[in-house]
Amino acid sequence: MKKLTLFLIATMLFLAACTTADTPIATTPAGGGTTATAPADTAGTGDVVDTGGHPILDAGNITLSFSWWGNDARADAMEASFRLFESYYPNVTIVSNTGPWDGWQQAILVNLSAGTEADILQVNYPWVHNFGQGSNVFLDLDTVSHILDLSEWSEEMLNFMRTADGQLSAVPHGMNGHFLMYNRAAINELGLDRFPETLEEFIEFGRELAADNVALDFAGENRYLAFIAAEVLDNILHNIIFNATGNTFFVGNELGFTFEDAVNAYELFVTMWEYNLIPTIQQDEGIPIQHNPAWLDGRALSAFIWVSTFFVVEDGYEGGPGTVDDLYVAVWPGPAGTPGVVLQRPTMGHAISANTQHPEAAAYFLNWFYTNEDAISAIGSVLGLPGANTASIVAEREGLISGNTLVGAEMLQNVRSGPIHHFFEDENFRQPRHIIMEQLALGIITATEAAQLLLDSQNEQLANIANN
Amino acid sequence: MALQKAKATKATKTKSKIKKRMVMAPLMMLIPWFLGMAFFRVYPIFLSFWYSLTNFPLLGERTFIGLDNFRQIFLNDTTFHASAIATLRYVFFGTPMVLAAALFIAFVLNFKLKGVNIFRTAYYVPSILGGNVAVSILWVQMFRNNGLINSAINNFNNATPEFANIPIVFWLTSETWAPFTLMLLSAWQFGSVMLIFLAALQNVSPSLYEAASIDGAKGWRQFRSITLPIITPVVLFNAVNVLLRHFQEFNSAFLVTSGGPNQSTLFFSLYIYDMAFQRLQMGYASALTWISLAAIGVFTLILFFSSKYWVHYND
Repeated sequence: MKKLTLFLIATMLFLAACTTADTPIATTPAGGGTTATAPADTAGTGDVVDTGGHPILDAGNITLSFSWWGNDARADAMEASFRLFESYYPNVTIVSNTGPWDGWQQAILVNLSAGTEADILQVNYPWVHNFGQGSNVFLDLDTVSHILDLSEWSEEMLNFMRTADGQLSAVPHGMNGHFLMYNRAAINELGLDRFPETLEEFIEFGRELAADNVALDFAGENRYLAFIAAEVLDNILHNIIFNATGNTFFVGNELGFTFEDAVNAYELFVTMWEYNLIPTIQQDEGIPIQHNPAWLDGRALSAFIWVSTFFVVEDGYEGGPGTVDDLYVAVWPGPAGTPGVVLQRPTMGHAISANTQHPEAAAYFLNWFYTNEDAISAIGSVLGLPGANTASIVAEREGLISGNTLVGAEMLQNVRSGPIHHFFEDENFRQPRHIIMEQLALGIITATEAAQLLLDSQNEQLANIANN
Repeated sequence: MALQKAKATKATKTKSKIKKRMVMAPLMMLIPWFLGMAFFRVYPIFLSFWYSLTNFPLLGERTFIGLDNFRQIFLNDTTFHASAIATLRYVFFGTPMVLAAALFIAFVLNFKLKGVNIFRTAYYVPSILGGNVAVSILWVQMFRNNGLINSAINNFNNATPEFANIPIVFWLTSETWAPFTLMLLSAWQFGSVMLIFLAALQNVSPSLYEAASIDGAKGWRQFRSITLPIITPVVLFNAVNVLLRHFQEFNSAFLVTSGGPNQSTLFFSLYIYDMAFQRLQMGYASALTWISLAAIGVFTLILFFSSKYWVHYND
C-alpha cells in the first residue's frame, strides 16, 4: 500500500512538472491573425513603448537559446542586442551559450551529437558543409523565408551557405578576405617612399629588408621579415595559385591547378625561405600577430590577415614605434601585369537548429537581428563587416565601420576576387597541406615532391567525397 | 518437540533472511556504480568497436564497411605511421626517464635530512599541477626560441665567451628536440611515482643494509644488490602506470606543440582527437582507438611476462 501511495505521488509530481513546461509557440505564419502583444514598458519610466508585437512571438513565453563564440567586446554587444529584443518582445527570453573560439567547434559538435544544441547558432563557414553535410543538422532557411527576409543577401553570398543538395543552412553575416597590412616603419627602414605593387617588387623589398638577417638560427632581435605567421602560408599558397591560374584551389569538385602550377608555387616559398624573407617553421612559434614582437617592433614589412581581425592587429600595434596611421592595407600582389587578388568567404553565419522547438520565432529573431537599426547599431563591428543590405547601409550611415577596416571593406567590393571553396577549409584537405608545407620548410622534400604530394593528397580526399 | 522444531525452523529462516540482507544491501548500494560503469564505460567501449567497423562522419549517416578502416590505417595512412613512431618513441624513452627521475629523487628523500618533508612536498607539487593549461603555457614560455632557457644559454655564452659556446636549441620547433622537451615535461611530473617509490624504499629492512655493510658492500653496491631487487615489484607497478599514461598522453602535445613539428609529437590520442573532432571521421577515430588499446595491451603483457626475469617477490 505504502509503495502504491509513493508511486501515485511520484506520478502526480511528474505529470505536474510536465504541464508547467513552456507553452509551445504557435506556428502561425507571419501576418497571421492573432492578438498583438501588450506593449512593454522597456525604460521603466511608465512610458509605453510600441514593441511592434508579432503573432509568431505572441503565443506565450518563449525561450530561445543562442550559441556564439567571441571575445569580451563581442559579449557586450551580443548581450545588448539580446536585451534589446527582450525589451521589444517581453514574452521572449534569449539565453546565451557562449565561449572563446578555442575548443568551440568541439563543444558544438558534442551539443549537436547529443541534441542539446542552441536554437540559433553562430556557425563557421565550413561547418555548414561538414557537420553531417549540413542538411540533417541545420534547418533549411528557405522553409522560413516568409519570416526571414532572404533578399537582404545577394544570391552569391547565400550560395556560400548552400549545401550540396541546395539547402540553405545559414545566412552569412558578411564577407571576409585576407589582406596585406603593410608597416610604414619597415618601408622607411628601406629608405623607400612607396609600397610594393607587384609580387616581384614585394619579394625584392623583402630581400632588401632581410639582407642583414644574420641570427637566423635563433629568433634574433635584428631579424626583418617580408611577412609573418606560418598559419597563413596555406592562404598565401591559395593566392599564388589563383594569380597563376585564374582559378581558385577547387573548382567544383576538382583541383583548379596543375602539377606545374603547384611546383611553381612551392618554389616561390623555397625562395622566400632561402632569402630569409619569412620565418622558417623552426623560427615561427605561431605567436599571434597582435603579440608578435616582430610586428609590434615594426620589423615586419607586412602581416597577412583577415579584414575581420584588423581591429585586433591594430590594437596590438599601439605598443610599437608607429601608430595605426602607419598601417597600409593592400591586396596580395600579382605578378607584373596581373592585378592583386583577395579571395573571399563568409566571416561566419547564423543557422537555426533542425531540432528547435521554435523555428519561426528563431527566424523572426534572426530577421530582426539583421534588419533592426537598433540591433545593428548595438552589434557594431564586433561580428566583422555586415553583409546584409540593411546592416550595410546602417553601418555606413552610423560610421560603425571605420579606418583600415572600412578601407578593407571597400576593397572587398572592388578588387579582383574569387570564392574560397568550403573544401579548402575542410581539415581533411587542410591537414595534409599543412604537413607538406612543414616538410618543404624543413627541407625534407623538394618543391617537385611537395607538388606531387599535394596533388595526391587533395585528389584522394576528392575521391573519398565522390565515393561517399 | 514440534514446538522446538518450529522454533528452530523460524530461527533458521530469520538467520537466512539476515544473511540475505547482508549480501543484498551492499549489492543494492553498488547498483548506481554498476549502472554508471555499464552505461558510461562498458557500453561506449563496445559502441566504439561497432563504430570502428563503419564509415561514420560525425553527425552524418553510418554505413558498415567491415575492416576497411583498419586496412586503410595499416596499409595507407602515413600519418598513422608517423603517429605510431612519435608515440612509441615517447613511451620507450619517456617511461624510463620518469622512473629514473622518480627513483633518484625518492632515494635522496629517503635519507634523514633536515626539513625532508618540505622537499617531499615540493617535489610532489608538479604532479598536483598536472598537465594542465597553465603548466603547458609556462612550459612554452620557458622553452620557446626566445624563452627563458635559450635566453639563459645566450646570456651565458655572451658572458663567458672564453669558456663555452653552448648551441641554442629549438626546443619546441625542432623535430629532434620537441619530443624530448615533452618527455622532460612528463618527467618533471614524477611526484606520485616518487611517493610510491619512497614508500617502497622505507619498507626495505635496515637490517639488510647492516648485514651488507658488515660484508663490505657500500653505496651503489647496496643499492644495486639490495634496494633495487627488493623494490622491483613496485618498479613493475610504476612502470605499468607510467607506460599507460604515456600511451594516452594528450595535453602536452595538444597545448605545447600541437603535434608538430612535422608530426614528431603527434601522439595517438592527439591523432584520434584530430580524426574525430577536426576531420569528423568518428568511425576511423574509433578504429584508431582500438588499435591504441591493443598496443597498450600488448606492451603491458610484455611487461608482465618479462617480470618473471627481473621482478623478485619475497614469497
